[in-house]
Amino acid sequence: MKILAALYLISPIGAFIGHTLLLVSRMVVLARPPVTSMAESLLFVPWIAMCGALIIRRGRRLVGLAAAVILCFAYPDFEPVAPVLNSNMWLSTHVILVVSSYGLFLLAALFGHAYLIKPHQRLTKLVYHTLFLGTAALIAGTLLGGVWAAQSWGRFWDWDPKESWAFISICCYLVGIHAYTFGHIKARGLAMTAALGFLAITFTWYGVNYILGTGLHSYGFGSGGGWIYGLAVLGDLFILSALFFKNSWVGYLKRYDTGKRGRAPRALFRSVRNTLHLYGARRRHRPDT
Amino acid sequence: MNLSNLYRTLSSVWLAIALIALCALEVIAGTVIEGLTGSHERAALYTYGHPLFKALLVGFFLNILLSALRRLPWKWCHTSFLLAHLGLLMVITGVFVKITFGLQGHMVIMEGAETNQVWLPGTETIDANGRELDCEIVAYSPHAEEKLERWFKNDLVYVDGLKPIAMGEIRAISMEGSLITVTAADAPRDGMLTFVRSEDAVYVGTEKLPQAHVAIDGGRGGYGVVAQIDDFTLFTPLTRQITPLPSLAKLEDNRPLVTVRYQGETVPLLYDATGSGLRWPIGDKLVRFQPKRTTLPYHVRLRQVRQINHPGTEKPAAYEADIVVDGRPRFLAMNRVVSLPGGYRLYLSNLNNNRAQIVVNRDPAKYLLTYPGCLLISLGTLMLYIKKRP
Repeated sequence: MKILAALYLISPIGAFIGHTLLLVSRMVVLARPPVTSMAESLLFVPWIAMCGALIIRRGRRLVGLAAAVILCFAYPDFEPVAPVLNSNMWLSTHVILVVSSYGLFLLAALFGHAYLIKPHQRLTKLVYHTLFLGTAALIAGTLLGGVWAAQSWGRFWDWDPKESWAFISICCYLVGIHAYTFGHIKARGLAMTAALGFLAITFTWYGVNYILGTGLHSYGFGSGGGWIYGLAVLGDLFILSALFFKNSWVGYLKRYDTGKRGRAPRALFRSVRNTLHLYGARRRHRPDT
Repeated sequence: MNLSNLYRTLSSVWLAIALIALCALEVIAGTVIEGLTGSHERAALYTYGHPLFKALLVGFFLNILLSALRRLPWKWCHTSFLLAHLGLLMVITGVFVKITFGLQGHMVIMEGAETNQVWLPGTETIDANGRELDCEIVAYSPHAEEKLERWFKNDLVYVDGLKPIAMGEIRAISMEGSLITVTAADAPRDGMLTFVRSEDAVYVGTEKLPQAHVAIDGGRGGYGVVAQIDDFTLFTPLTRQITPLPSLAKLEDNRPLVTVRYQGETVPLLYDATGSGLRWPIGDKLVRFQPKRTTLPYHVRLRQVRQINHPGTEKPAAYEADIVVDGRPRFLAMNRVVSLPGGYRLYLSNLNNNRAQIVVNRDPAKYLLTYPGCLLISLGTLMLYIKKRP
């Protein structure tokens, strides 16, 4: 896996071909889709993200970097499938859709971060497409999971932690999509939704199994790595906060450098207000004096 | 606030965003509670099962309905929006129909046994031979512990004030009237232990392991445990010691205690989740504090239950059961459901040695509302994407 990860840094397309061959060979050997464990999902999600990047012909290097990081944590295993997962039909529909949505959200998060660093209209469209498609896939996959749960466990929905966090992730994206569709946030807000929503997805993907460790999806349970995950999330939140207030502190520093110091809190307040306007918050109308 | 403003507020996207966010926060709280306490029931008590959550669902329903009505007269461009949100309305309605009219319970059947009784987990009743007893609840405690005290356990004899004596150390037994005197090798008090033989007891037991419970007068006189030594049968009455305790963090492990009064008598009853424990006498009844039961219109007999392992390993690949439903043989397995007329569905949930736990489910809204609603949500979401892409 580490060789594949290194190859993604050198030649994303070459690595993608090798990655595809690896997944296909697993499918042929195991006679089922390669999505029944955390190890397999760590192989599948970067593949989907790279697929998306190749289809839209954007972001290969960025996705290659993310894939390299994820594949460093991947480990091949050949554990037999738990009885409740012994259904190729449901693995091919529910699990593939959900895990594919994780790949699309990874792509959206990468484009979202890129937009927050350097806004570009092309990136807006990319964030929109990947976010919306990912949400559609996650909603459909989650609902199919409910149907499968009704077949296996005798009930459609019981707020199992995995189900709950899938619901929470959907809610995170729906808030952003509704706000963007009705003009309450702009492209920066959508980019921030993509970035923050992926944190919810990572908890659904990893945190439920490795940190909470409760619920009926117990075949995926493990332990360890909680502190690495926590650090990664905190680090990303710090970066997002810095990007969120980038215009604020850049504007504040400019005022400070040009000598228009004023009172620091007022200057900072104005900068924050200008930042919020960038995200779509309405200006309060002031009558002319 | 006039009606027009109220209508605009209730159908606004801001309310929708606020409801979605509140719902997400409540579910996050539920998962945190479940992660900390390990109790799904406790999480449900404070979040998913709380009336506030149901109020949120009603809020969703109103908001979606009014936002759809606000777009009247509908045009073709509204199709994707209406499809996605009609699906949501159907799913929310399906939730309430299932809660009100549905059935979710389980049956536990041994191989060879037959039953038509479905246990309803999470419910409580004082059962007197299949009927709910109309009695007064004097006291209730969320959790309690019960100890059944008896004079001998395994092959040791316990008497208050003396150290346990091994049955093998009993040297002589003599009987005088209804008194049996036992002489043990190292009994500290005059080398004698005295037991009382009861004329009304039914004796069942083995020489070395007196584990069998016996019922005196069918249980109306209480219970005891017996042991057989040579030609003599020793009997010790079972006495209960119940201690009320505070509720556990994991609600599923709680055993509630209820004290009931009936025909002038009062008896404490500890919750029996499996409904297979002892019934205790009160008045002219024998009662047990257990989950409610409902009767299925079918008799289900378990012929055989088996675990299929992956070849060459001890790891399970599949769980299967052969059942007979009203004379018709059926096959039950994980991911293979048995559907019965009337909307009842049987699922193999668990198996343990030669016993199977079968979940019984009936959801009148599943095929009318929930599943079609899910299809509409998926279709509508995709159409919204195609329609609104920049």
